Amino acid sequence: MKEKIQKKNFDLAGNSHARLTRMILFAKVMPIGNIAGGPGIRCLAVLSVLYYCGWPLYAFNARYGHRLGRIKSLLSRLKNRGRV
Amino acid sequence: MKNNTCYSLKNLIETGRRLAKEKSVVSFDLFDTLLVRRIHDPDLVKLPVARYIATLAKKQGIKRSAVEVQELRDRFENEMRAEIGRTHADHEACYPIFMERLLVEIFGGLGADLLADVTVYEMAMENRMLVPREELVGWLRELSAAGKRIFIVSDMYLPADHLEKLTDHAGLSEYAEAIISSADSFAAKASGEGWKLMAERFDIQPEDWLHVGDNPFSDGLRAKEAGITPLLIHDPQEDLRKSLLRRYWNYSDGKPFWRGRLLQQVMAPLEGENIPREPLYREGYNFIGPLIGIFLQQIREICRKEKLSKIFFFSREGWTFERYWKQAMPLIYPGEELPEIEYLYVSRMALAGASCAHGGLKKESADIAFLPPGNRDFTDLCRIFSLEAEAFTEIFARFGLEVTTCLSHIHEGYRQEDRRAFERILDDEEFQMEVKAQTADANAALQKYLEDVGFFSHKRVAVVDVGWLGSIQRFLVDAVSHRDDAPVCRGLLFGATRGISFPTTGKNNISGVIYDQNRFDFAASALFYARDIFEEACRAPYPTLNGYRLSDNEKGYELIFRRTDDALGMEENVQDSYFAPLQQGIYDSAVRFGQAVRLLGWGYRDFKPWLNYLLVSRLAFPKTEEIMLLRNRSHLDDFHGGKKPKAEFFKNAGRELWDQSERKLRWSPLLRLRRYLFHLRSRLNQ
Repeated sequence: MKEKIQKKNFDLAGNSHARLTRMILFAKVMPIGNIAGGPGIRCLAVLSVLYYCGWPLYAFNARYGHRLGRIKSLLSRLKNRGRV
Repeated sequence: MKNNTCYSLKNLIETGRRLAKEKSVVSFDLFDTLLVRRIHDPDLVKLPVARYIATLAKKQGIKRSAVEVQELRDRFENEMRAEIGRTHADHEACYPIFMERLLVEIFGGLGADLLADVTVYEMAMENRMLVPREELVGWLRELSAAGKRIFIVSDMYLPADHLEKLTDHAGLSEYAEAIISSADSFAAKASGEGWKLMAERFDIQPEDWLHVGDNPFSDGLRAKEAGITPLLIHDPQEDLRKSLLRRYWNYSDGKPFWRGRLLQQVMAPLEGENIPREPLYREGYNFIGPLIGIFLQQIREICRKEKLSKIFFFSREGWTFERYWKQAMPLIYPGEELPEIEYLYVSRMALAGASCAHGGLKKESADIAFLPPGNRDFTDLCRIFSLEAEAFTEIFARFGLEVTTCLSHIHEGYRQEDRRAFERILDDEEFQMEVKAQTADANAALQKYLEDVGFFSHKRVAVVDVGWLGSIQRFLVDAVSHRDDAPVCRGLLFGATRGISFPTTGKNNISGVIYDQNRFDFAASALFYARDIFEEACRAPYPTLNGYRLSDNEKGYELIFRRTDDALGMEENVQDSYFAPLQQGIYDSAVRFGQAVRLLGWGYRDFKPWLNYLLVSRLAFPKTEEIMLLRNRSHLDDFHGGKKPKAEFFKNAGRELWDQSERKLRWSPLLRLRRYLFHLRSRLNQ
């Protein structure tokens, strides 16, 4: 069946993020070789959100993002809390 | 009047068609409107340009790192913006002016065409990173056909004649009346001066003018202030795409694992390029293509380090490597001298006989010939080494053997004493003289061919093959080692399995690039799962070479290819047609690979972690559909005989994951895990 190389959510056909996540979870219990420390669970989680929920989030942000200034400012303060 | 902001291209074009009915002039912003970039940050294109300038400087003995070049460029550009800002409303810059200053600073002067050379390179890099938005370009064509005046306008440091190179490449120039850049007049959309200037220069009435752009300030507010109707696009899909790229880029800094993933993301087709493709094409583009690219890039680095001036690509797999190299390497190493490359028509079958003409038939060569399970006795060796078996009957009889005596332990009738007797035959002078006599002509024809392609013109050459034992290189070196002008052969294999010890000397050695058994690399050992895939994927679409023959023609030799009209040949043709989309995917990925690597500036060590993941994921844990798709129907090779080994040999045959039936692949519980554990154990035991 014909399919695009880059899917609609910008994931790659055949090398999907889901496949990567499964393999990395497998690598937690079984050696798969040198992957230079791996991708990092946090990075995987963030990318999962982007790939599978990204469009509605960005669509909302495009339309109403300018009204969310206060919330964004609060999130930014929370993120930077503890940093010098 | 509110800005007309659309959140999808479809909506933008619908709204635009409605608004444009009343207008005679439609202008478009260029970047992030008509064209999008493959990367999230336009400034990243400057980095390869800085590396290019540093390379040019190095050629002239000037030591400047790419980082220094980029810092200087940024400084001169900012200084120009500050200076322009003192006399104009906008802080604009003009590329030729600050680049000239940069080049004079580095080179001490502007040599002939230096600025032009760097400009051409930067425009080429920009073009490679820019992709036209298909739907928007379609609407632009529609507007042009309807007789609207079309302008393309940008606030950019590239002047209009430079931007035209980009719009020409994207196929937009023919529809636009003019391309306008703030770099020419230093009057930008951002201050509103650019709109006034355009209106005066092109005699446009603002009420008659629709402008399409992405920036709410320059394209929206300022246009509205000038009386122009703005139509803005804020595409959440584009925001998402750039967000992904930005994250991969940022993650790659601290976690090298992501570098290979970023490479593939930058390589991915966009917009009109991203059309539905067959499954085999996708495998070639997304899996095997990047593997080959990383392999060849590392070969380039090895050649640079070891000062190897010529690369010979071997056998039918080398055909694909050579084609990939020609497309990708000049993009990765612009302005640098690459080794000469040549494709060599060689194969195990063709070289086997010719390799015996001076040194005779060696024990190791015989061992290699008995590796395929279908080879049983001396007649199989005769087929491989192009010998006439009848001439050896008496010699064999002296040692108590026949030419059909079983010499392979996996066949019925094998006796160890027969094999020892055969090894004594290999030491027999009369036997070796007969071998040399029978293979002399093939060797002479081979010498003529190698002279013709300049094999002996270099002192040190790299010879590149897919793998796995280095047999081709072994036979080749045996065939030419009697010559004083035989070059040092540095064998670079995709994978070196080293099943039989390679005769490493100062003049002849091999190493595996992606996998080498001599260095423990468990992830890359996943190649063992399905070596045949790489051979079938990379195989050239011409019949296998069977030998060399002296001829009366001008060259004095001819290449003997396998016939294609027998059952085996026709099966090969069918197989070639089947894998054609896979090969096309590989070739199409080559240019994108080169562009992406040049932009990112990374190499084999950076991509290795991702490559390791790909190999384990795709070879050790493939989907059933992937196995059914890629599994070769018949691996055709005249090196392999047709005799059937003992039944107990088959006990272990066909247990490999990639040999399993579809039913087992789908339904056998934990099949992949079980095979993986078996593989893990065998690698550790090895």
